[in-house]
Amino acid sequence: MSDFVVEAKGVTRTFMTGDVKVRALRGVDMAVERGDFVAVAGPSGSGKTTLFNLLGGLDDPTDGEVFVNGEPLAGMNPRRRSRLRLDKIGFVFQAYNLIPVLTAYENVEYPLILKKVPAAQRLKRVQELLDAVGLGGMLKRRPNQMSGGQQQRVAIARALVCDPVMVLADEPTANVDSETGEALLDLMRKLNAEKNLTFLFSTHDPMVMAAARRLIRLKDGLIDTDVRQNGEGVDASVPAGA
Amino acid sequence: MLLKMAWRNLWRNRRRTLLTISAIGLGLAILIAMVSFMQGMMEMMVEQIARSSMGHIQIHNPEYLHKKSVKLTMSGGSQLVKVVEDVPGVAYVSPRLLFTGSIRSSRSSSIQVVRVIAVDPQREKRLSGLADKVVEGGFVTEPPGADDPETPARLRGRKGILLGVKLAKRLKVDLGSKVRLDTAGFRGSTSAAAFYVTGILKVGSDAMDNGMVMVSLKDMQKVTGAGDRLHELTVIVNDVGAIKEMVGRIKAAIDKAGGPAAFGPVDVLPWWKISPGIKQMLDMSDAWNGILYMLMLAILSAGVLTTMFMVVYERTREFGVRLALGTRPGSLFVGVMAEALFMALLASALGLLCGGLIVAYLVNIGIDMSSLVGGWEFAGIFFENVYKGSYAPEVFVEPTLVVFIGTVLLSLWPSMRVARMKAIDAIREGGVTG
Ligand SMILES: Nc1ncnc2c1ncn2[C@@H]1O[C@H](COP(=O)(O)OP(=O)(O)O)[C@@H](O)[C@H]1O
Ligand SMILES: [Mg+2]
Repeated sequence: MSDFVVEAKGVTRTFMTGDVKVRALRGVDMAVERGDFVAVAGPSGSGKTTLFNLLGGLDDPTDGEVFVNGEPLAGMNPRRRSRLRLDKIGFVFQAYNLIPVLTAYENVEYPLILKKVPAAQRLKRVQELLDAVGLGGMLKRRPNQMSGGQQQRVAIARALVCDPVMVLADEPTANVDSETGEALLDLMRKLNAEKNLTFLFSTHDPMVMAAARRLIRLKDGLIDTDVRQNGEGVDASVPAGA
Repeated sequence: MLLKMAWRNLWRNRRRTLLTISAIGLGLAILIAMVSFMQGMMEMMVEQIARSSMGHIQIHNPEYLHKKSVKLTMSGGSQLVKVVEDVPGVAYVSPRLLFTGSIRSSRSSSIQVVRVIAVDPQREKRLSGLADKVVEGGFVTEPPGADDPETPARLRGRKGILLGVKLAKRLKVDLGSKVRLDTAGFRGSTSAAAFYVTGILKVGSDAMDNGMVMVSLKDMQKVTGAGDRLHELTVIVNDVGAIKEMVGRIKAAIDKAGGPAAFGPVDVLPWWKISPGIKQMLDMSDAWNGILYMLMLAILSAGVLTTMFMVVYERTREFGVRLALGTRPGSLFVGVMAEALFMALLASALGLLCGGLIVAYLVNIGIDMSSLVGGWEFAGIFFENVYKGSYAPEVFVEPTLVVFIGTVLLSLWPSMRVARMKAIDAIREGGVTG
């Protein structure tokens, strides 16, 4: 078995809006290794969100196959797929990630409750993760009492709480200022380094792209370039095929 | 966790929730009050019907009711009374002779046509409320040796008559005055006798205060030569809900005691056959209650559906995120239903509280309608001026159940909508993704 945490083979996705066919993805092949730190870049409408939804098992490809941790998603019933997301994938969305009526603590705890983890273990784990994202003192805050950056940190903590094989973060920094974005990126990089946790994030911000160790550029539903870089600000225009 | 979230969600939009809860709660309170009021009116009517000369069940010669001819009697009256009285479930029985007569006094030139009701005073007293309406003297007395302590001593041993205040005024008579009463008779074509006023009665309706007199059955049987014959036997039963059954039982008892051979042809009828008008009125109030319920359900649907669909709409993104994380659609459904359930509980509690207060007022004080309609009469029965509510349990239980179950059922629709959401669609529709 390969050590790819997620793999897409010949994936296409076509949407029908009325009589108009929108070909959001036109044949994507990619595989992500465990512990990698990958940015998917591209202008708005290039298919980033569509790709992430397919990799996360939230949507089905029109053609092609997706494997998560070696398991094919095709033909998996909704219940198993939802369990797979809970166990193996951490999600961070662009904004409004959190459940508004729950505190920071409860938001992070939420997936553990879905997994029926005993309360004592939950307490330890949630505390640990909120400390890790630097919010150890804000357990009782509701989302509307936190800044956008703090909310995204809570979302990251929640994405990690079930020990996933990868974190899918669709434009996690798009709704915060650049300073906060940089801090979030530092946090993700630190978690990646310390816990060998695989991160996949999408962005159209060059600064964020520069932080990735692998940069995949999407254009009109196809992979345009796919490069390795040191993650410290290499010129992002170096072509793929290294 | 689900319940905690539902409860907090309920208070996220405090103003809307309070508004919805108060709308449903007040609607329920009004529904309870109206139902209580209608129920109170019905109870009063049935009570009045029972306490009027009508009773629950009447026994006549089958032709008597439409022909009203004096000759259409039942024979063996005293035995008939005993037979019917002994039927289990019968509370009271009152035997009567009924005439149209004319009354006059030496003090006035006016001759009044009146309804003459000849009753067995002790039995009639137990059955009808008229004895309570006597304002001077006593109820009908029965000579000889009439021993009603309410009757002045000088009047005892004389044929007494009870008449209304207005009639007394018109005839210029008071207690002890002599009046002459002419009626149809059984020996000749007419009979006449002198009676002494032993009681004056004030009911408030013209038919009673001006148009009716009551005398003793024994007197009238003697005066008219009716002997042991009766026109009418009125029955009150213990269980108002079992009137139909009681009709059958009484019929059977009469047949067993000799039937037509002993009493002549007899017909046993429930009150609604005798006065279909009142039955119709009661049915109409049922229909009115139906309309009230429909109105309530309309308020409810509007309130619950708009609120719950707003909830679903506002939280689409949240539902999407939760689904993406691995939440089962079923638990989203349960969450929204729990919220509706909380709302239904709070609204029911509010409605019961406010409704209870209004009902307490209706029951204890009532609404005086005399300025609007005065005491009124329908189908020969006099109804009270002050309408009181009823605090029968069903007055509270039924509306509350309707509202509660209605709220929960209506919420199934938006909740199902949530359960069918797809994570990506919900996240997209919920806004803000690049
Ligand atoms: N559910 C959908 N229905 C119709 N068209 C869609 C849907 N989702 C995405 N698209 C279209 O697919 C293309 C790619 O969209 P998306 O993956 O959201 O791009 P990105 O995230 O890179 O901005 C766009 O043209 C978009 O309009
Ligand atoms: Mg996008």
